Amino acid sequence: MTRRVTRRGAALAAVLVLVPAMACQSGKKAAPAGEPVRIVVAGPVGAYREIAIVAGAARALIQSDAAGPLAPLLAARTVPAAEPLASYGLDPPQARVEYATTTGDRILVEIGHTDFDHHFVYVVRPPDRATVDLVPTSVLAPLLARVGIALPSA
Amino acid sequence: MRRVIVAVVALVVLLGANVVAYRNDRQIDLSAGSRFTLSPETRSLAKAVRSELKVTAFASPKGGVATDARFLLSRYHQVNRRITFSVVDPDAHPTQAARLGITQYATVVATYQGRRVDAADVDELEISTAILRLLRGKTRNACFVTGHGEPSLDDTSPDGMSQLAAALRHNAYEPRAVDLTKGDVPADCAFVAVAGPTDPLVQREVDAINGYASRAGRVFVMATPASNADPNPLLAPWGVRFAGGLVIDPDRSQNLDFDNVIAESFPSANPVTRGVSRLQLPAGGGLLVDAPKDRPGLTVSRLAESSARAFVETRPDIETTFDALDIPGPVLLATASDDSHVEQQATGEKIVRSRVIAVGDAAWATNRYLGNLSNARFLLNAVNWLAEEEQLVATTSRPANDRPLPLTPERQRRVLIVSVGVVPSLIVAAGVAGLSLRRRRRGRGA
Amino acid sequence: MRAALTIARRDLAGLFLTPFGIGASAGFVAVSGVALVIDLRGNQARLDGWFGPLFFLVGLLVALLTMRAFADEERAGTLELLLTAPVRPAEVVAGKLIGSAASALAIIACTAVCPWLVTTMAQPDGGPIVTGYVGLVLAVVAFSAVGLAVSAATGSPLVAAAGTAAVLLGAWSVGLLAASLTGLPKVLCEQIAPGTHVVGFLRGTLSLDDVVYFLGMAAAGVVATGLVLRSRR
Repeated sequence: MTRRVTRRGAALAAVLVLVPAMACQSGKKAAPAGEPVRIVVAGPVGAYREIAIVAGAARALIQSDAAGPLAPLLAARTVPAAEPLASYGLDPPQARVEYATTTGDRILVEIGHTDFDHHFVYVVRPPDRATVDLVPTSVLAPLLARVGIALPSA
Repeated sequence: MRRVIVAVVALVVLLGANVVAYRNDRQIDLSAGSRFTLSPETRSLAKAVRSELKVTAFASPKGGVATDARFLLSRYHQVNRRITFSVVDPDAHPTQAARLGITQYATVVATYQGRRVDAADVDELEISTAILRLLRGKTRNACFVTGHGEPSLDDTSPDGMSQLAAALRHNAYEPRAVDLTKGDVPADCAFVAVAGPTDPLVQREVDAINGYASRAGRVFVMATPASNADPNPLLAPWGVRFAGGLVIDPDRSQNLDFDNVIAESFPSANPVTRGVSRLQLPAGGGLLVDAPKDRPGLTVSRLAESSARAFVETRPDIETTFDALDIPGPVLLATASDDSHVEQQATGEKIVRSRVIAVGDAAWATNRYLGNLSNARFLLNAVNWLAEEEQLVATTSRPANDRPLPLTPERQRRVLIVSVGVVPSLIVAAGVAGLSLRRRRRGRGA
Repeated sequence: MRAALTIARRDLAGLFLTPFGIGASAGFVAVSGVALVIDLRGNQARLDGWFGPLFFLVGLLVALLTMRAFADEERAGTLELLLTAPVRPAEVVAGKLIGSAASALAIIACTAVCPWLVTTMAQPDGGPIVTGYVGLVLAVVAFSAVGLAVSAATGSPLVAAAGTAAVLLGAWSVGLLAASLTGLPKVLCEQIAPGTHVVGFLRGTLSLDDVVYFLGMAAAGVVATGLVLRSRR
């Protein structure tokens, strides 16, 4: 009897601990202002052979000393894609960041337009297009300027 | 059979009680300042809504603002089901935000019978004021004097004032250009604005504005130092003088740009500064209060001031350091003059009230700066004060709900140690002690 | 009434002097601590984000506590003894409800350390804390009554726990459904869901609508339990 209730108690404690732990992981809860909530692309810069920004025919290679903000690329918020991707400027995207890893893999991040108050830029990392990440405009504006895209300032 | 009857009766009673409770909006509100209890004025206002009134609050999902907004708006819906609402995250719904021209969080858009009025915050006073203005059902003219190099209301560039025009339209004002070289101020103007002229107004225009202002008129003067226009003929009758120059504020300015002044001091209790926390006033000039003593009905409110270390540089083309020729701070940046006097008219005595707002800067209202800090809020407060629409609903003042608690690693550690470590351990220790005590007692009993 | 209190006292002692009761209490307080850290990530001294998940978790806790009420007795063979004893069914139901609810409330009382911690660091609004706990008391009573009815209807504690959790989860889910509806169906779904009636408690209000909802749920659970027991007798 005692062993059974002990097992039950342990199971209960496990459930009660797991639920909030999963809630922690989901990242849906508000984070302090400025604290990144999602890593869109992991770092460090050294993990990539080449990082380039492409917009139409324009292509700019980002040297490792300037690539810090792109590897890791951190999003301050993540929202579900409640509207068609075109609403976020992501269909078609106005630019792409192409990462070539040292192991030969390629990572693509699509860049849309700025949000309603121009503080953030919408980005997605295909193939996941169900959620849209918001990266601070201050991070992407100087890099996008290299391919002729001027983001409106906040 | 009896059991079925009991079950049915219980179900009917249960449903009945819930329906009665649903229709009844009685509540005890223990929140600070009873934030979620609508004032009697708001309740009667909400009941007066006769057709669908839609309220859309654009709020950040962070920090409970959206949930508070949803709950507050549900109180309006409870009083009158014709008032519907939605709370939208503008980041997740950019099309909706763009369609309604939202540029800031905590903007509330109320629409009623094809008209729209915005509220600058998700609180009862702002929302109820917006509803009352919708119920009044008229759009008033905001008359802008043009032809002197003023930023255009149609200009969408950073130096234009298209956003100012949009903000006015969103608040039931229709911006309209007026030419005062040929006639008087039209009677249907809610106020006349002289917004950043760079060329002087001709005497005919000055006379027209002063004549209008003295006959219970409302004038909004945004002066700019870098111009040939002298606003003093418009301001002097109302106890204000534009000192010109350039306000330099080493303590409160943006970055190292000392003439890009950030005003944080709002000494008066004038409603124009309600909800205004900081103003960005770039490249502006200083104002001085110079009220004549023989005008007891005239009061001049000091709306915004610079820091004490600021000064008005009277020769900005030559140098920008404080010297004997400069005017020391704190520098007055904006004023509100209210002149009330009794006039004998054919129909008897009548109170005549004139109002004039002066700002020593015009750039703050351009597209580049209007969305910054509380500039837009200041603009709308100012025009509503001029048009005497600032206190449409008398609600009790609510305490601020901002209760900052930065979660530092130390605090997080303390919470976890106490609530996840200490207290559960004490519970386990007490339980184990109780268990072993019981076993010992049982052992003795056996 | 004395019989009801005796039953309640027995159930209460039976819980807290078992490893299950100790584990449940300690686990729940620990979870509430984690929930508090998540809530405080908003950098505001407000506890609505803490009380909200607590209301949901209380449903799961109650499901585990009430499964013992009748189903456990039946499995242990003591239910027949209880039902044939010279005690009225109403007293049995009342005793079981008081026992279950008091157990849950004793565990919830231990979470008071969380609001206390916040008051040591900032000045939270006291109203929502009071109403949050009032709401939790009402929710515990209501959920316990539902749990008793499910427990009385089955002989398996596990089925009872799963059944109660399913009923409560179903009720919460109906609220999610409301978002995609309009008109009367939307209102109905919203009114059925506990989530709708929790919001007021989180903001600091005690509205008639919310209080009647939880009391009504409690009454429905009690009546259903009584009917099930009568049929079993």
